[in-house]
Amino acid sequence: MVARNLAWARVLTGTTLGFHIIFATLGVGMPLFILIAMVLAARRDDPDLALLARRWIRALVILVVTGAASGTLIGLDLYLFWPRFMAVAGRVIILPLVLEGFAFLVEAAFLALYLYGGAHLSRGKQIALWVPVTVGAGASGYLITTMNAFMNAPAGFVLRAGRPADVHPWAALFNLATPTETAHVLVTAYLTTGAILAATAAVSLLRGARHAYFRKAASLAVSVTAPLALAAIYTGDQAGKFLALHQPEKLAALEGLLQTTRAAPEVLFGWFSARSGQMVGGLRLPLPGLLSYLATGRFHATILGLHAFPRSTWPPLVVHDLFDAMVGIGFYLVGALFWYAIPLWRQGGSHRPGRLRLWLLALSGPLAMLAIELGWIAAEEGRQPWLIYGLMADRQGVTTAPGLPLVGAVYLPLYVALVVVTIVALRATFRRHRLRIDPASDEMAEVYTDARAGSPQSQPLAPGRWGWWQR
Amino acid sequence: MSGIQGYALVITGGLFALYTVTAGVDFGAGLLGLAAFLRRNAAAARIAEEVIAPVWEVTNVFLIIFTLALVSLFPGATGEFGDVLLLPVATGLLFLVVRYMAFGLREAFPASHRVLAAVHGIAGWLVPAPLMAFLVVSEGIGMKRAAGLLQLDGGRLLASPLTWALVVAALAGELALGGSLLLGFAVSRGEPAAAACFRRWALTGLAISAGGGAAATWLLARSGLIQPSPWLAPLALLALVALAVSVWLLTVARPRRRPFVTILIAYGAGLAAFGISHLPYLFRPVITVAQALNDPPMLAVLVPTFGFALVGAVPLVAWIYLYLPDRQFSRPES
Repeated sequence: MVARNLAWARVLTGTTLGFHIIFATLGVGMPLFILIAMVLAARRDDPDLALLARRWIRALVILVVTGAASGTLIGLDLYLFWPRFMAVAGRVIILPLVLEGFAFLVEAAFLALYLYGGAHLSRGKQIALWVPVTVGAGASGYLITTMNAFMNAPAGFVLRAGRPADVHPWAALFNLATPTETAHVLVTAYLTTGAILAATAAVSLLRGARHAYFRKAASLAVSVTAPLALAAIYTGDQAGKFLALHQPEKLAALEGLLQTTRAAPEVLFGWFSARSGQMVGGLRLPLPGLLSYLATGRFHATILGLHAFPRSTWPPLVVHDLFDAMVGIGFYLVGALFWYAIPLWRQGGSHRPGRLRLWLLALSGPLAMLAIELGWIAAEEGRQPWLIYGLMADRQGVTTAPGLPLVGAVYLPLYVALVVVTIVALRATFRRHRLRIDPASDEMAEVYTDARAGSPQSQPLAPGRWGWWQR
Repeated sequence: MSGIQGYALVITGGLFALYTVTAGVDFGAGLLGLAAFLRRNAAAARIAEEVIAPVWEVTNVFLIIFTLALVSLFPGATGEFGDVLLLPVATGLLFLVVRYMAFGLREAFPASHRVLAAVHGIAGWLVPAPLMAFLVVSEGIGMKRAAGLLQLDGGRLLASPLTWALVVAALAGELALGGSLLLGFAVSRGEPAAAACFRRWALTGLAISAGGGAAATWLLARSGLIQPSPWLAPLALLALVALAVSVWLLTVARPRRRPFVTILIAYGAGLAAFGISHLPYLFRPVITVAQALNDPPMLAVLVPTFGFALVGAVPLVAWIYLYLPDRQFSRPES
């Protein structure tokens, strides 16, 4: 029963997270970009940026609907599939989850106030209503990540006879992994969101859109996102150094390092050969001691390999390839974003990007989201076999209830349906709210199209310098 | 019972009541919107839709916060509740997700209202039905021990009249809560046809829900599952008086929000009586409140956190439910 439940619980939790992380990443990141667009629109009195904010809000609303569904699923799945883990978590590390619940409430309440009560407020008040949405979204992301950090670096309690004792809730929240993990998660969430928004604008420009509205959308997203790509490399490096100190077998698995090595080299990709018991097929970078330097800051440092640990605690070695792919995408994003951003910053509004730059930018969105997925799979699989590192194996936390396969049979198609619904709803929303250039003023405006009762009609909305949200 | 235990119970019970009420309004309004739509009462359908639009996400957050309160304040019951309630809660979540999918598509496809409105209204209305297993199981009904571990006994759960009494009370209660709130908005906008529709549903829902609640009380008393307490009689009296006042207010001409408030009082008193009659057990007869309660250092952080957050959040949420729809839709372009 436990083995079967463990397999199902892992599949279901992994699938839920795999879907939810898309919505969560965009849900954390989009409010910030919308806020920046609002503020810039107000400062420059720019109707294009105001319209941009409104269009991004339309997308956010759809993502919030489906994200709330997947978020509720993951929240209750933790409780249903891993009740023994939650029983321990409830005594030690539940505080960030509680705070996250209220941060989410702030975000939801102010989103409701903004969407349904803010249209006639002044610019300043509208922006003021949006600030708690942005802060609530960011705080949710921070707080939920501290729980994952705790699972990597448990702190703030001791186990006595299998039960947590001498509990210090704040020490558990601000555990050793919290600074590096939360920084990396938040930076990459904003980076990925920005890359997707930039990619959307790039696709429109590649399709021949000429209006300044699209160039402004790409410029805003790239200008914010390019520095974040560098920050993601830095925070990722810090997270790696944390692993070298506190989760060395996870670092060894992520780097595919089997033998403890002094001046360890960096080897990209490759796979574990069960016959030879070695990693094979990888590309060894020519700089000696590069892995040692990256992990510790010293070229001649010794890095522990997986053979230094019991075989039963080895994470699956596929995480090595996932990790390398994620890092590779990170460097691609730095290149693509800065190659677009540097001439943009030099030339300002007169910048006209070529097609290659736009293609690279268009690819950065899906690649950034792929990196998020790869990174999370590598991070979670890299902690195997532990649910709480060194203290609770995943089989100890799983439910003993029968019926998990039945839940899986229903839920797995449900996730697919959720993604399909999101895509269909987004496409339909933007088909109903099309962009059109006003021939008289050359100003971009949104046109509402209602195809009800077989009689399509177009009704132009107000050009909408303000009043972000109009149905 | 120590002070901290009392606060923890009040917070958990309060959050349960808060979710019950917000979900009742949200899901009830969804079904009433569907009913109005099918009867071609356009004004009533529009009001129901406009009331749900700002509140659905807030409702959803309260489900998560209530679950967090249960896990954080009473972690000693988490393992048992999680094992026993896997299938009922997973079923409730299934309805919830289907409702969200329909809601998301309705935002995008107003032309396809008919099917999506049906899925949205019915799936949402059914969400509380499987969740009622939480209350039944907490009375020790519908579970069994297998290999030393507690498991759901689905046959006994479904065969118990208490289950069905509570399901009827909950499903009808959604109509009473949703109908009475929507009635206020219909009256304030001068929509007599919509007001008549909501008044009818609110009264019907209230009558059936009160009957379900009375049946559940009788079943609990017959099984000896009501622990005596000096609070029970006053709370029962308060619930009955609030019920009677609600019926009277629902029949007067322009009731605005007063019937909704009195129905809230009736439900609040009923839920409080249910909770008090359950003491000292959280999970009868396996786990008491004291056994399940978290350790003092964690409670010393959690109780003030919940307390301050709720004191700040509840007025804002109440304003969103009671007044925001009117502010929004009194705008000229709407």
